[in-house]
Amino acid sequence: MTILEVQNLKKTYTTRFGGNQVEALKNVTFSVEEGEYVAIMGESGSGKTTLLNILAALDKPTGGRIKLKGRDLSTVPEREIATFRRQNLGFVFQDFNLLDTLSIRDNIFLPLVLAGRKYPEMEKRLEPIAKSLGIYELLSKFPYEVSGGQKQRTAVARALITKPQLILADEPTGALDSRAADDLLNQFSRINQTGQTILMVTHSVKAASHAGRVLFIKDGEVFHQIYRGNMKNEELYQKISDTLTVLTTGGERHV
Amino acid sequence: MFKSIYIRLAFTNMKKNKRSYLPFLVTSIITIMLFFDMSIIMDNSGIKEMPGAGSMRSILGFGTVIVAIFACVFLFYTNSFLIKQRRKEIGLYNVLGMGKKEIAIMMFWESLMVGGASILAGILGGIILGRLMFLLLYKIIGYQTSLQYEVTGSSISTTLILFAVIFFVAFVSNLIQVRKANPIELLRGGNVGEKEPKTKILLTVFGVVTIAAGYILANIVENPIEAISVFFVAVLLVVIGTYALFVAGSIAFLKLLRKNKSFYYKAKHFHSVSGMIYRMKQNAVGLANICILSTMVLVTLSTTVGLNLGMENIMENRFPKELILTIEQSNEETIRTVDTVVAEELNRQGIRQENGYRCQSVSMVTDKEKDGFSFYAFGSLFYPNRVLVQLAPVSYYNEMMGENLELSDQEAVIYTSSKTPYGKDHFRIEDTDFTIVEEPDAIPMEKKQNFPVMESYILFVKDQTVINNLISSLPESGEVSMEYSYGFDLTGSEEKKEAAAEAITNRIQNDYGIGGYLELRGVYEEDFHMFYGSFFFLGIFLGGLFLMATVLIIYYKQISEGFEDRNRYQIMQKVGMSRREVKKTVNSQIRMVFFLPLGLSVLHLAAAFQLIRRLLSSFNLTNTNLIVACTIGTVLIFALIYAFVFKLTAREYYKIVTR
Repeated sequence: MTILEVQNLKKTYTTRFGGNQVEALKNVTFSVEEGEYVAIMGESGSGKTTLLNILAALDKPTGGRIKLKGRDLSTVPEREIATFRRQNLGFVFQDFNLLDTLSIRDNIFLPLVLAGRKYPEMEKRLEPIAKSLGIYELLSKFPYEVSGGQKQRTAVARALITKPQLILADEPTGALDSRAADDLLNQFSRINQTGQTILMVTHSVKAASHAGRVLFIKDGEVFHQIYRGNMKNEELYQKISDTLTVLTTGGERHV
Repeated sequence: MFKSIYIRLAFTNMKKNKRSYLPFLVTSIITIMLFFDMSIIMDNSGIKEMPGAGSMRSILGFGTVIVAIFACVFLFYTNSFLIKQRRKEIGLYNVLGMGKKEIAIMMFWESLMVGGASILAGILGGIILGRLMFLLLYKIIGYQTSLQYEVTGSSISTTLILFAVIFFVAFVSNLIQVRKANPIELLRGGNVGEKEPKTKILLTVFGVVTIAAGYILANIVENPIEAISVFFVAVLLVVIGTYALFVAGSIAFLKLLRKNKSFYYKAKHFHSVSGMIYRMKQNAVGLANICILSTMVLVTLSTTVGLNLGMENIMENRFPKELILTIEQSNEETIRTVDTVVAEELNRQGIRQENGYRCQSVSMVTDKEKDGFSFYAFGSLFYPNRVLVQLAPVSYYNEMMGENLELSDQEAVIYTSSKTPYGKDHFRIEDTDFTIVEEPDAIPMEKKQNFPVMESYILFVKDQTVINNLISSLPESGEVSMEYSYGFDLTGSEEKKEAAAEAITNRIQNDYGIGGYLELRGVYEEDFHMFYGSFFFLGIFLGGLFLMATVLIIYYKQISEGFEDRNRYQIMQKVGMSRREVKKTVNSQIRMVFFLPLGLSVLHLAAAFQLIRRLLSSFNLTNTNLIVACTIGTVLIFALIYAFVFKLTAREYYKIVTR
């Protein structure tokens, strides 16, 4: 079943002075099936972050359509957008975005608190997630007391606790050392194996090689995609690097 | 040349750290302005000429001391948080090869610049603000008072010295902090979140105890003007207690809120409670400051507004008749002389007296006992919990009432100015017992009052011999003066009344050498307005000053916190907090910051009420209902202004965190 459908997505920014138009996204079309693990790759400036912001309903597209589980995002009224985001999407950001005023536990609870859930329910949901991510012992600590990897796992827990349709991850390994990054990517794979759909934006080949499918964006368009098929991580890694070489040195389009 | 590098460095540092330096600068300037304007008032020559200048000045002096304490605590704390934020930067300088000594020089220049700029701007701002407020108040009150605007050298130098010392001490403590730490620690300094404060039960208890002690002390002081040092100690205790309570108690309180899971895990409270705990050390002092300032606003304003609105009541207490002539020591001869002079002078001006009375009496202060009254002292001094008894021959009663009553040695007529009559059959002073034969509802000599200054009785007995016998039986005898009082209303023009009054005073004092004084209501009313007008002016001035400081500090505190909080709100919005929820959270957070201190300051005011009542009754304002109404009114208006500032702040805050 298709969870996410992106059709002819377009985003144009107008610069502040002079009215020059910058096309961040020209014409992006793709879809994500339930239970998929998709990585979107591209160089900086290719429109990755713009795409993710639009998918997260943090930004509005200039043209085109996004359907999440069949519902057109543009039909969600402004006042419900936050609720919609909270109920359907989970976020993992590059710089963690944890609140330093809250303990690890309370950080994970945050979306549930915003949703007005009862405390016993939150506690019940927390335990298995925290245990599987290996942060159960840290719950009473504060963000500044734990390592980067632990912070990112906290952010993953926060994304998972609402049981979202889709997890959006923006460069989740960007601020981590390689061991913490490996660890996190393994967590993502494991989470994906439980049936969770993940959409990750990254320019790390390593990160993308964990995904089930890799989309390449260049100049605001989906340029190419690779399915994992039966490939191992290492093989996929090789294929991605090759594609990137072609991408940067020029080449034909194959979608 | 070498030095100028440090100056330049210091300057650019401050420019780079605008966001944290600006609030610090603004708060110190406001504090200095507050202190400076307070000391301008202290030194004002008009105050020295006001009646009761001595006690007035000591009250103002205590007020200044409180503001000074406030300024110390406030600036010191703001400074300590500023330096905490800058640890990382200082560590970087250290790592890049600046020695501790060079850092010290750089920091010295920074302190000098910030301190110098704040003091200069504070004094200049204070001068301008004082001037503006004087002009504005003259416009509002509509008449000039004995207070003229003036800036004295001593107020400038006091302000200069006090704040130079505060800034210097702050500088030294910063230096010690930097000296103690190694560069690595400094580098990490900025990133380490404030450690979650511990609940300090001992300090909480200490705060509660000091406040309670202050409250009790304030309520047992009989005459606040006399026992002014006790009064001051009470105020000091409450101030110290407020700081302690906020520093320790608020953390205990918030942690309690956090423990209550069903309260804490609500979207509205979640961020505000955790955020407040996170910043509580900083917040606590800020909240205590706001609480103390609001209390000052409330006490000053309710007192002066009460005094102003109660003017009628004061006049009535003070002047039952239009003209009252009082001779402190009288005998039959002086009475005859005085009566003749009065008659002659009234005739000369062609004006007539009406509703008059004459009375020769002796006054004493007594204590109420179970079965009578025990003697305390001669004279008619004001003691709120004692009873004034006047003894006079019945012949004066007969004269003023047009009656012809004859009494035996043990009989007496009694009159009380209280609304509730004496009502008993006997009146006993020490060992002398009188049977009450009559109690009139009204006599011309004294009006019934709704709110008498103190409980008082006039006892008319058979004759002078009875009075003399009674006096000689008292524990304290000796020369006792019989006071003669002659009072009446007048017909005729104001000028003629004044001319007659002047002539009477002149002849009695100069021609006959009789000691006494004459009070004409019309003349007094003017002086009286002037006097109470000055009071009113002073109250409004100080109240307005405190109010402004409160508002500015609270506003600025919230706005600078808004910038700190912005990132957090942005994260919450990404995670799924709607604009509406942001608004709600902001409101809940700011409401707590605003109304926690207001609540406590209203409590302080309630505890100080007895004290205020006594203070006002020594100014002849005895209408308790009026005082209550004024106090409540002041609180309401203050709360309204407060609520307005709250709305404004919440809106600005919301704008900042959602931008």
